[in-house]
Amino acid sequence: MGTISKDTFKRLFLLYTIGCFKDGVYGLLRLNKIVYFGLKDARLKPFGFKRDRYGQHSDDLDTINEQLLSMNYTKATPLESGQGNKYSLTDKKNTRFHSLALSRIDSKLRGKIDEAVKTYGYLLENELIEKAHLDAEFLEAVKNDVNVLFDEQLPKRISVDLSDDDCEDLELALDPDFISAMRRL
Amino acid sequence: MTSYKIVWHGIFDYQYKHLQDNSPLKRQVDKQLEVIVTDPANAGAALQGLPTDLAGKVKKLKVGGRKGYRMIIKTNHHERVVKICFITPVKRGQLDYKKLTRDLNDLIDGQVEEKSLKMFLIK
Repeated sequence: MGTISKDTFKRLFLLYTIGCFKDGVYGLLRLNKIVYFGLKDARLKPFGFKRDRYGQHSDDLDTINEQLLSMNYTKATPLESGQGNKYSLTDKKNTRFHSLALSRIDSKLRGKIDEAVKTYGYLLENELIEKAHLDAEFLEAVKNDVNVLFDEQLPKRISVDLSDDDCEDLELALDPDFISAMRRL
Repeated sequence: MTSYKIVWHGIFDYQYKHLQDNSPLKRQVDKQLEVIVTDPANAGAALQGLPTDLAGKVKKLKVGGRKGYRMIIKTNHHERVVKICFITPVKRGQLDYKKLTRDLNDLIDGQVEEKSLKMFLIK
């Protein structure tokens, strides 16, 4: 049994989530909403969510998404609407390893994300926003004028039922500084 | 046999110079260097899950056993070069990857002061 850092877990989780979308994620707003739905009842919450003008949103998720782009695990291509990008995996050959790692951390979490993508992933944007705005927890937060929907909930180190070697590989392969250094060598 | 050029990065060069003569650790590092020289194309285990452009190129060799240190190398098959990058400065389990990779990113580009290299002294 090995462990990984919180940041590595966040990158792994978001990478897995983006990979669940067969035709990519149509926009960052959509990615935020799907992750919110996947995490709201989860035990481990890699991202905290707040309420803003677009509904449920995570600044941390946006940051991690940019890191995945910078490492070239994902790519962003402009949407036909001209507003926003489609996010998709650059290469699917690591999907199995990432999927295995996530299921060895929390198989229920993986199931929740699979379900959220299946249920909401390709709804029309206005339908998705409507669902998000009708979410019970969101309505409760609006009613009580609370901005934080839920906080990140992670232990300092995340246990993974994989070998120390595999965890070390995850830690290095999902670190933007390491990837940048190795590219420049 | 295919010939590869073996290059030592400044970080590894500094670390190697500061290894204690005849210490068990130095003997293990020398053993792994021998492995690299003997079979440069296949030396080390490739890190899993890397982006496509680095897949199969960045590898690790164990120094001091399973819970010991890791020697990181980068193999460029196209240019037939193996670059020995660095050894993780502390044993696994005590390793702060975030600090390691930040220090590495600051140092990797070339000539650096000895003061900065001290962060990579093997403890």
